[in-house]
Amino acid sequence: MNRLALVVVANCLFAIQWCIAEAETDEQVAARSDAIDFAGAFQNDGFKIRDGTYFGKISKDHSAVVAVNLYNGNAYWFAASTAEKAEKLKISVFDEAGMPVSYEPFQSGTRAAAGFSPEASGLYYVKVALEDGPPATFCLIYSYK
Amino acid sequence: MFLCAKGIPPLYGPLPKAPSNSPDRSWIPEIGLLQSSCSRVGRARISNRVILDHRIREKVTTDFIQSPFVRWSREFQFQQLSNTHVLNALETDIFQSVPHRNALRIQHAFLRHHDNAHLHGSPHNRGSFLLRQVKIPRIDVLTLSIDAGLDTGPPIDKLRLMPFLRKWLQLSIIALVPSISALAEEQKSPDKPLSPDELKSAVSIDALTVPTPGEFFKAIEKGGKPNWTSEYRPPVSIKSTDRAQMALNLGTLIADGYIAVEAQDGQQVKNIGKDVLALAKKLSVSQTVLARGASITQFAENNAWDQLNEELEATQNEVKKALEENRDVDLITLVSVGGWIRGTEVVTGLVMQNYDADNAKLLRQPALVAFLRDKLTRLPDRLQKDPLVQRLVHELDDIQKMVSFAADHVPTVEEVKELNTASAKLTKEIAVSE
Repeated sequence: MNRLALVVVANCLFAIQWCIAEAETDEQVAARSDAIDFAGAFQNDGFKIRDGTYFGKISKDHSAVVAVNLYNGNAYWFAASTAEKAEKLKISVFDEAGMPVSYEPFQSGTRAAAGFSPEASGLYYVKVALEDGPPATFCLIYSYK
Repeated sequence: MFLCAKGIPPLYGPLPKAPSNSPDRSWIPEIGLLQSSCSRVGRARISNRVILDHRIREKVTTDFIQSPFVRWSREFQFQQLSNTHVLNALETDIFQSVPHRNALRIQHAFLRHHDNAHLHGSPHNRGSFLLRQVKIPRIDVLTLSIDAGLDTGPPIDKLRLMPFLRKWLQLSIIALVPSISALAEEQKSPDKPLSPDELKSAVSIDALTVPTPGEFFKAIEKGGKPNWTSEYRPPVSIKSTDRAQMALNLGTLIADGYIAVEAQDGQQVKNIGKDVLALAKKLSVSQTVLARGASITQFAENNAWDQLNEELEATQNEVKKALEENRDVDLITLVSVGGWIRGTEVVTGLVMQNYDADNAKLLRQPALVAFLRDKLTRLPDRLQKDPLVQRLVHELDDIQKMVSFAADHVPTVEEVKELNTASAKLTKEIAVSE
């Protein structure tokens, strides 16, 4: 009986720890909500928003780079949001060698986006940088068509 | 502070009159004068020092001329105020003149008005040449060696200045073009290349780095509607008890779901949805995933294909999340691998049916295969020892070579066929239960 109780307690502790570790912070929830809201504009234009998201922390000195595999022929919009005030976010796209590629930038305070149509399938890098403001949590999503 | 010359009678006699049907706004019929802007201190006469005023407010151009070249202790204003659009003069839109030049009757690359008054028989052209000729000689430009005596003779005699001024303006604009285009180029791509540290620290995550089969299929649709039904396969056995195989099969089944959605085959979507949920149950995923089954059926019945596409990706993500919660994180990789292999088999099959260079180039995915293969090699020992996983790792080596070609290389039909054979073989191995 004691052993059973110990197992139950251990499992509960593990579950609590797991929940604490995996729970999204308020900043992440706000950033994702704003990013999805922002990407809705692209959805209206026929773009499909991917279900996956990426959260990261950025500051003026530290940017985040995410690797994505894209297909030629598709058009992509990468959208990010910090959902916090007084920030200037920027998204840029690079090829597999890390060289900048031509893309359509959009920047509006805490939101930023980059439209890109690859000429070759393969690996690309999406860089999310903070040009102004205090460190922040961002959410990156992308849509394709 | 400008004094408007409107209403002040000319001291040097009447100016040439514009035809009554001329729409030239620089002519004021009420007073029989050219509509001049203003001059603060002229030579006791009205200054018609207006250039390039043909329906465009060329403020930049006039300022450019005005500042360095105008001398003689007099200050001239070349802007022409308009009675009806006074505020326009405050903020000119010079670049709008380019798209608007047809409407403005400008038929010259450098904003020059049409000289042939009768070429098109248009009333807009009649008389305008003469009016412009009257204005131009009244400019005092030091660099053109025009002295102050310009305004003593009849204006029409000073026409010799026109070619010089035009040439000078053209050369000025031509000289500016390289610097403007260099500036535009600089603004187009101001990003610096990624540093080695940034490349090294780049994040690769399953949710963004691995494209969905739907994304893959969307790309091939650009060349025309493929025959999706030709890529159907017989129902997959879901009797296996091998968790690695179940996870791989789940990935291939989700890819099948995307094919059925692209084919807009509601019944096939429902059949596959049932198989997906049956496998998900066997993998002990949470009840939330099972609830997706009802949504898939409902969307399939309503022919809501776009929603079905999203629902399939959401189902796949729910399964992965549930596996993570069940501490089966390693199986997530297998779901992704299964989906990619089946997707590659389908896309190569479609490319072979109707070979097209752009579609063949879709198969270039060296980094993606390397990422998946790397994840497979990091699986725990118990999964590494699984015969199916071992075969998978081995055959992915070959597939990686097939999809690692230069960005400008177009795979031949034979190369596509080779990749199709390899991916189809793997799909069969995944589907066959031990």
